[in-house]
Amino acid sequence: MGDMQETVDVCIVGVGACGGLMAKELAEAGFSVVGLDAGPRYNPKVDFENDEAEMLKLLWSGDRVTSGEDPINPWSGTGIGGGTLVWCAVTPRFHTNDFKTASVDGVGVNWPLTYDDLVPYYDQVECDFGVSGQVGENPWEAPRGPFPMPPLPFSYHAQTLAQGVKKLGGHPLHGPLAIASIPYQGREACINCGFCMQGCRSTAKSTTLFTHVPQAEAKGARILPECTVFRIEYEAKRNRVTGVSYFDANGAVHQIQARLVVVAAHAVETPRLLLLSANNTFPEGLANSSGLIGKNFMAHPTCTVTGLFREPLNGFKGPTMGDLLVQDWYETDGQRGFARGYTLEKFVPGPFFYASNMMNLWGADLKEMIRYYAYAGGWWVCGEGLPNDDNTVTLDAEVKDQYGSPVAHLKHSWAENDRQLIQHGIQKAKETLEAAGAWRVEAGPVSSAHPMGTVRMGNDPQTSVINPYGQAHDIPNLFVTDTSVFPTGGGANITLTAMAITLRASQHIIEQAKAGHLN
Amino acid sequence: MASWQFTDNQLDFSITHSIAASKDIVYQVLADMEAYPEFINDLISVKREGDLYKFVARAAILTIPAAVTVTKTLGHSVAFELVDGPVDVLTGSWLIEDDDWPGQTRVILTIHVETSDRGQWLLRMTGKYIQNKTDKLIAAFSERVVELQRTGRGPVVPPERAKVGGLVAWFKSLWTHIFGKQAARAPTQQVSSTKPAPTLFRDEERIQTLEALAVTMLPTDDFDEGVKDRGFVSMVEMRARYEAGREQLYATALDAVDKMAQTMFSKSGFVDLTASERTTLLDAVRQDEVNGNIWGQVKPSSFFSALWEDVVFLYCTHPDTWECIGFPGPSFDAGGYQDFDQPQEFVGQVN
Repeated sequence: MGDMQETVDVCIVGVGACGGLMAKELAEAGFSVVGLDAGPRYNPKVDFENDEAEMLKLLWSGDRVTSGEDPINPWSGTGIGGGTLVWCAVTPRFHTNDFKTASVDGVGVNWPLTYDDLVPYYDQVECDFGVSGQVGENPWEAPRGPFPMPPLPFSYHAQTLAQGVKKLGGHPLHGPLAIASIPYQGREACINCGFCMQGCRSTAKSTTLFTHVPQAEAKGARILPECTVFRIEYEAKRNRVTGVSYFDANGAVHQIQARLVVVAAHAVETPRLLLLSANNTFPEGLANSSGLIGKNFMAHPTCTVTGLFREPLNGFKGPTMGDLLVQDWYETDGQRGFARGYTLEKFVPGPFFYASNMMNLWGADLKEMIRYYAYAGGWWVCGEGLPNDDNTVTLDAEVKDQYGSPVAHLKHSWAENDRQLIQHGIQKAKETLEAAGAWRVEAGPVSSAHPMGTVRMGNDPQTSVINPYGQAHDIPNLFVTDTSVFPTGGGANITLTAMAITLRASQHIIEQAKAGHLN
Repeated sequence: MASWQFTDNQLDFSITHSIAASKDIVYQVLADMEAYPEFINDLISVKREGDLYKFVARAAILTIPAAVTVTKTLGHSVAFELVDGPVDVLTGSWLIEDDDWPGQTRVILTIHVETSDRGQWLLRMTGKYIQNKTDKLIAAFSERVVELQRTGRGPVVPPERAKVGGLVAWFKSLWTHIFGKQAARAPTQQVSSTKPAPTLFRDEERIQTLEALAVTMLPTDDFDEGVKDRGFVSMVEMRARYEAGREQLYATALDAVDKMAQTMFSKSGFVDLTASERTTLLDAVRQDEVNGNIWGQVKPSSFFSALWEDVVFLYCTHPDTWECIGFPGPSFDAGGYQDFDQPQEFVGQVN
C-alpha cells in the first residue's frame, strides 16, 4: 500500500493482547485507528494445525542477543493477536500486595495504582474477553465478583496432582482461564484437545484475533499485518509524535501520520522501538529523559517439574496449563528466607515441548522420561522476579535485523531472592508430585517467561517513563500500554493485568482527547 | 490416512474438489500465483521472474525458498515443476473441469514427489505436510474464489445454483500412493540457488558418525530404536540447508569427535567406540571438557545443544514415536477428548 495521505487519530504498534484491545476501545469511541503488526494475520481454520513442529511459526523468531549471568529470551508472540495465539490463556488477577511490594515486603517498588483502581477494568476485560473460573476457593485472592463463566473441570491429570496438593495441606484451585467452559457470546466451548499452545482451532480460547480486532474493524479500524514499524516520527517544535515509519511485507518503506501513537509491542520490542526512535531532542531514546527505557528488564523465573506415575494420566487431554493452580506459597513468608512467591500451574504440553523442558537430561535418562510421557504429570512453577536496573534491553552494537536495524540485546542476571524463590517452588512442586504418587520426579532447568518492566510506569518523571495511564511524561501524545510498564511482576501470568491497565488507559485517552488535551 | 513406507523414495498424491463457481474465475485464482500469499499465510512471497516463479514458504521451523516453472493452459490447467528446492523432484498440476452440477467447477490437484535415498524423513514430512495442508489450501482457494465472485470481479453463480450442495460443495476423493523405486527425473532447467544442498551429508563416513552421535544422544533400548532409521540425517541436512551456520557447526563437530576418539580412547573415530565410550565422549562435549583446539571457534557445548535439539525434535514430532508412547497426535478434528476428566487408559504400543 502507499503512504496514507490523511492523518489518522491513532496509530497502534503491535496488535496483540493490549494493542487489539486498544484498537477496539478507540475505534468504538469514534477515533480513526490504524494498527500495525510485524507478523501475519492468520486464519485459524486454515493456518492452524494440531502440530507442535508446524506451529512454531507463531513464536517471535527475530534475532536477539542475550548476555548476563543468566541470559534469557522469554517467548513473545507475533502476528495479529500476538501472544494470545500461542498462550495457554491463564488469566489470574494480581493480588492486592502485588501493587505495593516496597511497602509490604521492602523489595521492588510500589505501583502508582492499586488493585482497587483496576477492579472495574479487570471486571470488564474478563467479561468482554471471556474468562472462566471459580470465586471463593483461593484464600489469598483479592476481593472480586463472580466470573463470567464457570471453571473448566479438572482434567484427570489435574485431579491426580490435586490429591498431592491436599496431602500437603495445600489448596488446589480452579485456574482462571480465558477459555470458554460453556458456549459464550457466540463462541464454542473448549473440547479439551490439548493443543492450546499451537493456536486454538476453535473460538474457545480467547484471542484478540477474533474478539477485539474484528470489533475494532467493524468500527472502521484498519489492521495491517506484516508491517514492521522501525521508527516513531517526532516533531521537536511542538514536542509531539507525528506518526510512524514502517517496512511493508516487501521491504518498502511507508509512513503513517497520526495524532496519537500507542506502542504495545511487548516488553522487548517496545523499548527497542523507542530506542531506535532516538533523535536530536531525545538522543538516548524517544521520551527517555529519565534514562529508564530498557532498564528493569524483568521476567518470571520459571521451571517445569515433571513426575512419572504408575497409571496413565494422558496429560495431553484438557487445557495445556492452569486448569489447576496452587498459590499457597504466593504471598511473602519471611521464614522462607526470601520475599514474594510463586504459583504452581498444572502443565503437560505435547511431546516435543514436554521434552524441551528437560534440556538438563540426555541419553537413557531423557529417553525414560519421554517413554513414559503418557504417565507424566507436571507443574510449571511461575515465580516473581524482582526489578533490577542492571537487567536491560538495549540496541545491540553489532547484530542487525533484515532491515538493517540493531536487534535487541537482553542482558539479565537473577538476583539472590529470585534464585531462592524458584528453588523453593521447585521443591514444593516435587513434594506435591511425590505426595500424589510419582515414582520419579525431575526438574528441568530454570527458565523464564513474561518479559516486563522496560518502560516503567510511575508518577515521577525522574524515576519513570510513563504515567499511570500509559502516557509518556516527556511527550503528551505518545502512549505505551503493554507489560513494559509494569514496575513489578507479581507471581503469576500477567496478560489480564496488562489488558486491565490498557483498558484504563484507553478510557483516559478518550477523555483527554475529547477535552482537547492531546492535541 | 495411509501409513508411510520408508523403503521407497517417492510419493504421489491427488485431491479432487468442487467449487460453486465458473471455470473462468477458478482458473483466474489458480493461475495468479503471485497473489497466493494474499490468502495463504504459509507463503511469504511469490515473485515471477520470466518463466520462473520464486516461492518463499514457511514449513514448520524453516523458511524455504523454491523456484518452479509454470505452464498454463487458459481455462484448463496450471502445471508446475520444481527446478530448485528442498526435494529432488516435485511436479504437479491443477486441472480445471466442468463439474457434473451446473454452475460448479471441479479442480484436481496432483503432486508427485521424489527424494534422495536418504530422504525418508523428508518424504514423510512432505507427505504429512501435503495431507495436513491440502484440505486447508483447497479451502483457502475456495474462499478466495467466493470472495472474488462476491465482489463482482467474476461471473456470479445464481443463488439457487450456489445453494446446491451448500455454498462450497465438498466432493473429494483422496488417495495417496507409494510406488516402487523409479529413476529420478532430472530437473528440466538448472537454476542457481542461494540455498544449495550441503555437501557434508553426501560423505558416507560422516553420515555414519552423525547417526552414531544421534543414537548416543537418545539410545536405542527395549522400548524402541530412538531416532535410528528415522531419517535423522535427512532432517539435519534440511536444517543445515536453510539455517545459517548449521552446516559449519556440524562439519566442525564431526571432525572434532573423531579427533577426540583418538585422543581419549586411541581409536580411529567416533564410530569405532563402544557405546559406553561414546557416552563418555559426548558428555565431555556437553561439559566443554575438551583439550586442545580441535573445535576451533566452536564451543563444544553449543554443538551438544544443537544435536540435542535436532534429536529431540525429530523423535518427539515423529508419528512412530507417538504410537509407542501413546500420544494420539491431532485431536481437534475428532472432537477433542470427552473423557479428559475420567481415569485414563494407555493407548501406546509398548508399555
